[in-house]
Amino acid sequence: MNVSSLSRAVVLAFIAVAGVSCSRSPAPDVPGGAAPREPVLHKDASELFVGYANQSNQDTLLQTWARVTCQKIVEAGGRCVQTDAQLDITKQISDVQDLIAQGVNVLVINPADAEGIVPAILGANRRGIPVITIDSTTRSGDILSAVHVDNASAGYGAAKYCAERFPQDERIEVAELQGQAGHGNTTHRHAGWQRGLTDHPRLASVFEQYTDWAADRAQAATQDLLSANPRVKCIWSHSDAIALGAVRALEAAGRRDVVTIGMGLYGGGPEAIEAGRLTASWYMEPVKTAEAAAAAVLQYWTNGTSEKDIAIPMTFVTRDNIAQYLP
Amino acid sequence: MSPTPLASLARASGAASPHRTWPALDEAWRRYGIFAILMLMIVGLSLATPNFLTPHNLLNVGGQVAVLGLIALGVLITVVTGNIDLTVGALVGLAGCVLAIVGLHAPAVMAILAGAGLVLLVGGLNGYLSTRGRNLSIIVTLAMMSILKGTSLLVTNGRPVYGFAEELNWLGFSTVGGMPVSFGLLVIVSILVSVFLSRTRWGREFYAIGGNREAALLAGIPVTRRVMLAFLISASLSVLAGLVLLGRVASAQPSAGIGMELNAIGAVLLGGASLNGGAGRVANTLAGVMVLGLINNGINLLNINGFVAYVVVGVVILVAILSNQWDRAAGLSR
Repeated sequence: MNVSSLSRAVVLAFIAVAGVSCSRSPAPDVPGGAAPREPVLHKDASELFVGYANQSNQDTLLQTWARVTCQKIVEAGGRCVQTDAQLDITKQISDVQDLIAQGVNVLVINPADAEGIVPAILGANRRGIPVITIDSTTRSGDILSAVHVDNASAGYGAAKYCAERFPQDERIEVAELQGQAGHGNTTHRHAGWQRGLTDHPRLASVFEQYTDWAADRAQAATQDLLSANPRVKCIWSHSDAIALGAVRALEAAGRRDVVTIGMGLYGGGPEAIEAGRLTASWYMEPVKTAEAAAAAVLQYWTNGTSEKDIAIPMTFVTRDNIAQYLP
Repeated sequence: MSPTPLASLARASGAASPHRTWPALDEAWRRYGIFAILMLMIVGLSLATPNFLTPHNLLNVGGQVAVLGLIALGVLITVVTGNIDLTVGALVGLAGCVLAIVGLHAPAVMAILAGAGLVLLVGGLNGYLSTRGRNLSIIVTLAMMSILKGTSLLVTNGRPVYGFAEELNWLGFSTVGGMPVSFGLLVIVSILVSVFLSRTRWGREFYAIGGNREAALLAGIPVTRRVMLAFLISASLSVLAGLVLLGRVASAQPSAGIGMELNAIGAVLLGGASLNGGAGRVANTLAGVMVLGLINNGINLLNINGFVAYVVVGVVILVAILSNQWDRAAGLSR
């Protein structure tokens, strides 16, 4: 083999193998085998091995859920590994399969899509591995516990707030900046918003657009919105990042009269509310949500059962009550 | 696509090239290097984690790479003819949406027929515009990719579709004797495509067209029809992959398949195919697919930060493309 071929072999092999292996994080060792297992009561916490299948590590909220859940598991004496589905449900199914192959005995899944994750949950069910979902709930499959906030209520509440902010107006033009097409949270937040529009007939939806959770796309969409519908009075955004993109466009257009509502209260949202740039947002209590998921795991591990439905209340935060939520 | 002037010049002049020192070994590397890399990965991962070399995990990987494998074969066929099909990923998504929507209201057979219609429409348009329209296939399929993505979102209104005929889940979700049906399908399709390309006259004509389009025309090969056939086969494999994916996630995801074409092209190039056309083998392409599949599997099993996957897969594909460029420049592409 000549120099060129040898160099190519070395480069490709290095990238494909060493590139992966050498970047191994100081993660706990994984046990062998993935044999079907049955829940056993009062196990030693040191035998607890939790797999956390995250839908994306590119979001502060999702990172917090994963980090705090695993942190609590480790503090209790167990082990926890995470995967990143990169918002791709197909990859997340593969991730869950890989976690099962590693021998996890409890799965915590933050689904990229509530329907699409069902085959992975059924696969875990077949092997007797309990599944706890965090955030989105699923239509079928045996779920030990569903830890969630009510996304639909957030959408509905946003619509209600828009109506209440303009009590004298017979027609209130409103707009919705959605997350990502096909994403479970987007679907539920949109459904709640739509229900709110139905229940508050003074609201007239003049614009709705997907932003892929990106602030720059939200900014561009809002610029278009203002060109086509300058009388818009209220904008509901599916995340604070989206809302801040909208706020930038509104500020550039000199519009400070438009009510803007975000979701999550993170990533610059709290500071924007304090500064009066963003009107309101829903606080999703990310640490409490993650702690509830970890508690469900530990409760199952010691008692063999856990609460089926764990709803984490959200708080509607405006400038009036932002002080207690500032980082 | 005809050989580049640079490649022709290099070949004619016998320009100094490192490849000329050991041509036989170089050819052997080009043909079998990907298998060496694959074996190295398997050995490396086996040593790194005891969970890798288990039947359960290997079967998992087989099921995980089925969709990518099917569309990579489609890309290979178009690349062999000197073209490229960038619609494969978007067509996987659209096929899933169409099959699911039809499957909501009609038996699975009707959904399959709708999928066949999609093959004729997309594959036919890609082939027609890339040949008779005398447009470069990369431009045609790039535009078509955007059209297909938009259509997926339009027909589903951006929401997942589920609750369709249960039979449509079989290919993507079922196992036979522990082996995912989707992986069995990939093996069967691979054998068929391999036999077609290497043992049939039409298959050999694909290589001839990719090798030298003008010479193929002079030899009486119906180039336009063969290229159209290549795009139709590619579309068929994408729709089949869409059906597999539909069952794998038990729902049609409007954003499914997006970006998958990059990995498919990467797998084809890793397997030693040439973007100039006229070269490429099924077994090598499958090995390329397995390498990409094992990267993701290894990252999960070793509990490596998921962000690493972006970098590693991207760099592997980049090196494969650069390697391909070196071959083209040296005139040893075929």
